[in-house]
Amino acid sequence: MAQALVEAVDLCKYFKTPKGLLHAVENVNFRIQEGKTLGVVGESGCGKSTLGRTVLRLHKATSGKVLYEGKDILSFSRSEMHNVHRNMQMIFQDPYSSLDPRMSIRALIGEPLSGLPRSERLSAAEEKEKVDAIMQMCGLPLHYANMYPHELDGGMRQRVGLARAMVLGPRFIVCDEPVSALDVSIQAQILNLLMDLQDEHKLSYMFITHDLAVVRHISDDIMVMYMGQVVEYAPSHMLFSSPMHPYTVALLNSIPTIDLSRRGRERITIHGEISSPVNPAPGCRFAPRCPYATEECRNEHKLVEVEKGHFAACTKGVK
Amino acid sequence: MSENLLEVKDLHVQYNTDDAVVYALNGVSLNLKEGEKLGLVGETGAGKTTLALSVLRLLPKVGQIASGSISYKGEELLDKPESYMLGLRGRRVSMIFQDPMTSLNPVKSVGDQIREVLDLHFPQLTKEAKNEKVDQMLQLVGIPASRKNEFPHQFSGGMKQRVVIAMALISQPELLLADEPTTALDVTIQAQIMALMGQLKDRFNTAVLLITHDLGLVAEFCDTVAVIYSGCIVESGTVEDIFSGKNNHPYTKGLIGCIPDLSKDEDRLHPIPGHMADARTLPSGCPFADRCANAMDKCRKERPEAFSEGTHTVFCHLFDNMRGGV
Ligand SMILES: Nc1ncnc2c1ncn2[C@@H]1O[C@H](COP(=O)(O)OP(=O)(O)O)[C@@H](O)[C@H]1O
Ligand SMILES: Nc1ncnc2c1ncn2[C@@H]1O[C@H](COP(=O)(O)OP(=O)(O)O)[C@@H](O)[C@H]1O
Ligand SMILES: [Mg+2]
Ligand SMILES: [Mg+2]
Repeated sequence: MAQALVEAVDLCKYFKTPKGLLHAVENVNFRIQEGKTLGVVGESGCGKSTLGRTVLRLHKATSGKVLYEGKDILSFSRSEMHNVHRNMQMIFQDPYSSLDPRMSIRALIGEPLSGLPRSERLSAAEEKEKVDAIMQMCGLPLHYANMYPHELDGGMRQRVGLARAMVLGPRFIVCDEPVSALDVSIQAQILNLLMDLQDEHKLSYMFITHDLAVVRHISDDIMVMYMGQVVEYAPSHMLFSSPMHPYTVALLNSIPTIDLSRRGRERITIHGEISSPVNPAPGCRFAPRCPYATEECRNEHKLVEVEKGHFAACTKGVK
Repeated sequence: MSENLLEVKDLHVQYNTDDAVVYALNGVSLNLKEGEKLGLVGETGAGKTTLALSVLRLLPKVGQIASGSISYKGEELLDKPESYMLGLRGRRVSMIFQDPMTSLNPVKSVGDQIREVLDLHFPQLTKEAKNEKVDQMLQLVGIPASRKNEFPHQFSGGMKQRVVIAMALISQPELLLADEPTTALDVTIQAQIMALMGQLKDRFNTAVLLITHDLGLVAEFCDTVAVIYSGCIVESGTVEDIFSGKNNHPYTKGLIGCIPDLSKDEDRLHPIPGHMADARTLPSGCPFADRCANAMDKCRKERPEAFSEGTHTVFCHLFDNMRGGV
């Protein structure tokens, strides 16, 4: 197998809280090849953002490794990390909160360039040219350059967030719920843009979302998380055609559909709610809500390769 | 067939802000029968919340009902004194908002808040009877009655929304206006809440106006649908009329096309180009004309008339030559 661009090995992130140690990300493993997308799905609080931030070293990992081109970046010095960060960027659900309201769109998109080492600094003219090109690439009409964030709608603001991420020419972008706040017609525009940029620049994405319907289109592989644990990890088409973990099955079943023939389908309602994994017991964290839980679910939680490339911690969801 | 519970006719609502007039509703008509579940779908800014607030006459100060009629059980609400509305709100017509904290008081226990609805509308009940009803209602929405002395912040988002539903339904209203009640919730919790709303509807025969941007939710939960765009209803009908894929309004077709199809491995999505026009200018013709691939000259000039086939109505000039008679 070709070397992955980004890889995680037994990555853990725990937070100290007054109630105890919160296991936000537990033993996560993944590989993302160049030009590919890993979708990370799960409900709020399951650890998606924490995973994304830990991979980018915005959180300090508790244990495990993050490999970029095969090198463990968790052991990198500040200056080594500086180079890596140019290649690894992040975009957020609400770009508004990360955009300084007093800066023009042009200044915002150009801002990351000011962090370049002296030898690579651009002249004012070069910078203008660069920003213009990035705006065009991200579908931002040039007359937006002199506007301010509050004058833009959600879709355009997300394009600005993306332009800022793109300006340093990254190879990997963590997209944390980038379309979750957008209307469907705008969502589709942004998703298409992300896919176009990926094709043109061989970008790799970690695409985080709570919306399974969105993730299918953009992902090559999908990882389903529940309370910090990965419950299933498979190529996108396999996950949708033959989900195995009871949680994945319930999640897929819960998506409302306009397909009237599925209106009368058997509903798998899972009861109860997600809580937070503070000092969790070993075993499957979904078990308390799982209709199929048995004694053995208290055993160690481990992903097993059930068919080639398809990993699941449990196969009780298979009919 | 049962009578219309709610009839909205040619409703025009605007917000008179300091800088401009915002035309939020531009001639909206819709009907809702007793016990019916109507889905009002449209994107942000289409006017959905404005419509619900108009029915309850709860528009903010800058909001103004410019013309039209809203009749409830045959009574014109727009002519009624505020005292009449007070007896209606929370008693015969309840509303659930997207953010449960809109309706919850952070410094009162949830049990007290639910009981206050009874204090207001059923003052004749004894304290014991009220407490018993509160306990029953909590249980019905899936919250152990033992938690009634807790405060909103002790509940998760899904649990808070259940509390709000309990408050909305304890008076057994005839009509529930649910404004994006599950938008902020995860899908498995959404499924629980929608199942709950369905059961309660069956039990009390409450009519529901479900406001959402999620077509799937409407297809699964509702009997009838109205699609709203730029303050105009562009299409309405039964769930079957709308989702069978026949004779849809181009906007509805576009919305359906934007939804990633889970059963296909297709890559590209099909967005609707552009975005909804600014509500500070009134659309002269069809409000969707600027984004419509099929737009003709007259689409930009004349507001389309209704084209109806049975229960299915579309407002689109493409259907002009199919219209019989006039
Ligand atoms: N800085 C932090 N300190 C303590 N707990 C945190 C912190 N960030 C996240 N958490 C907790 O970690 C878990 C995962 O959170 P998050 O990664 O934000 O989930 P998601 O993005 O899937 O919604 C949650 O229980 C959350 O409360
Ligand atoms: N208080 C207000 N002042 C001015 N404009 C408003 C106000 N509330 C809503 N609007 C405008 O009215 C239109 C309809 O809004 P709304 O009813 O909230 O739509 P929806 O609920 O479908 O998202 C939008 O253009 C919105 O910006
Ligand atoms: Mg998150
Ligand atoms: Mg609204």
